[in-house]
Amino acid sequence: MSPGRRTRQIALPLAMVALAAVVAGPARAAYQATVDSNVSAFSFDCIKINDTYPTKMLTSAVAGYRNLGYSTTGFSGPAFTRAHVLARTTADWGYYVHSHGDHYLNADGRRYAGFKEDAGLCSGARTVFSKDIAATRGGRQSNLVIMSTCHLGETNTTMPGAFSIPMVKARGSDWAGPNFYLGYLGAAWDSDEFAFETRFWDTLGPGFGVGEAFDKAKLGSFNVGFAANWYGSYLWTGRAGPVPTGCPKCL
Amino acid sequence: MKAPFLAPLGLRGARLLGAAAIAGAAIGLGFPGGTAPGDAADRFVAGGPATERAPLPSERAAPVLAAASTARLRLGLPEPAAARVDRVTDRFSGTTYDEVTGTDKAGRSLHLQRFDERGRLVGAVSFGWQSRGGRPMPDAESARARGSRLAADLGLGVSGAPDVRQDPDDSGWTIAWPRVVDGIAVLGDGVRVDLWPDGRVHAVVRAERPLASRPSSLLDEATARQRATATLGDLFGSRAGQTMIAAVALGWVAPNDAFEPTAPDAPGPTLRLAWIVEARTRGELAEGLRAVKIFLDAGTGALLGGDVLR
Repeated sequence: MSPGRRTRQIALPLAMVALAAVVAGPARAAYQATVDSNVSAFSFDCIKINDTYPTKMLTSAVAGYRNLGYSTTGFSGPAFTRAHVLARTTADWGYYVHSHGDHYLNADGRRYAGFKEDAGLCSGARTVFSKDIAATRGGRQSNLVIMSTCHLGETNTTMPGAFSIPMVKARGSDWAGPNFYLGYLGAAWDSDEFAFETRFWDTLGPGFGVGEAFDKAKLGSFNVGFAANWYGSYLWTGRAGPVPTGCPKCL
Repeated sequence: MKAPFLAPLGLRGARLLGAAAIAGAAIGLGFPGGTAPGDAADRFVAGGPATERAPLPSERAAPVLAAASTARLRLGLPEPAAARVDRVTDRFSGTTYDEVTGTDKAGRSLHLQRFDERGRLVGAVSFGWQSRGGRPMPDAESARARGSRLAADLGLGVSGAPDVRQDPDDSGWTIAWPRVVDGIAVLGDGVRVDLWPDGRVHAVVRAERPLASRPSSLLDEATARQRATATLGDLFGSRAGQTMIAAVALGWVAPNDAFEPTAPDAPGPTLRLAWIVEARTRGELAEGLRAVKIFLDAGTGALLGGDVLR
């Protein structure tokens, strides 16, 4: 047996151990992050293929939040429901979703930013409205929120407020607290979102906070018209938990 | 509630995760034998690092720093207190470039510039979100003129009228020249200049990926449309009737794994000529999916990948 073959034989169990560690995240339960990705509407159960983007983006986001110190769990399929989002959001310091997003008409007659649950449904998925998240969170502070959907980075989005992230772009010596909201403008193709987020996660680390990561993530190949937007604090590490107001060493 | 991370993914998803885990472990644990030599050990895997960087030795850094100094003046970027040069291997894009990061006295990053293996400027960004500044440019035409002058000064090789878009929250302008080769669009490639409202440079990107040989003969549009209809039937099964072809056009595309979980996670670095077919959705399918693109090899009609608009 060649050394390469022998190594390949032991690689799978080791890989599964490594993957389990990624899924479980480090023991920093005080700073929870939830990563939701809608896989079902475009999966083999509903059509005849599995679109690969939702799974890749789920994996990337789980790893990204974990690297920032969040106790991160990924959800998809029947576990990613509207009820699940609202049940977890009160404890979420970080939240990521990849799904169908828009400014949906609510039963109260007004439009709010929102996204579709997965719930394992091919159709008939319910909408998670920013209004519902806001009511559930009740003004609770959050850290890093990423809406990997169409439209929810637009200037009329109501989603940042649901997570108590001010719709300002605090930069330089400004400080809007330890928070950052990322979303996309208009209709955004999955390939662009995946490329942008891959670079965003890859940049975050020593010397590069969320603002620099946003700037570097834009340095790539994208479809014409792709655009991302952000609110919160440019000079912030993205790491989980509260930071003293005006922290002079936020990087 | 426990994280049902694997269960809903199905067989193909599980295969994808298995492949990703193997390659991830090979990279993370440093096993050269985890995958075939020269193959997935260098391959990007979702959730893993997209880039590797190593400082350039001083003798190789010197010409890069000189080029950066010249470009910095043309870009209007401030002189840094210090600069470092890294050779960056970008697994996601399949490229290698030298990256010069300028820092202030406190060590905070001020700006960066990227140069490809031919020494051409392929990227630059000024950090700090400096959207406040001097008098704002009055309109799109001013932004177009400013961006065009800058692109010419930097030798970015642009031609034609660019697309101009105002960025959200009055944070500047984006001026873009999509790449076109022999009249055929190259998806994702081109030159983009981002300006702050007063015309200072925010960022510059030049994407020019290699193109594969053009097929000796091309499917005609009618044949491509027929193949696309059949492919949509294969992909969507009984729901194919809820898709409607909206556009068919030739274009250079990066092959990808959009519909093939066992393919690499990153798009192919060499672009292929394809018929790009965009189908819009309707009915129940449109509740979660706005549109889909499929890439069909322009010569054979084989599925090269695609894209999804949720």
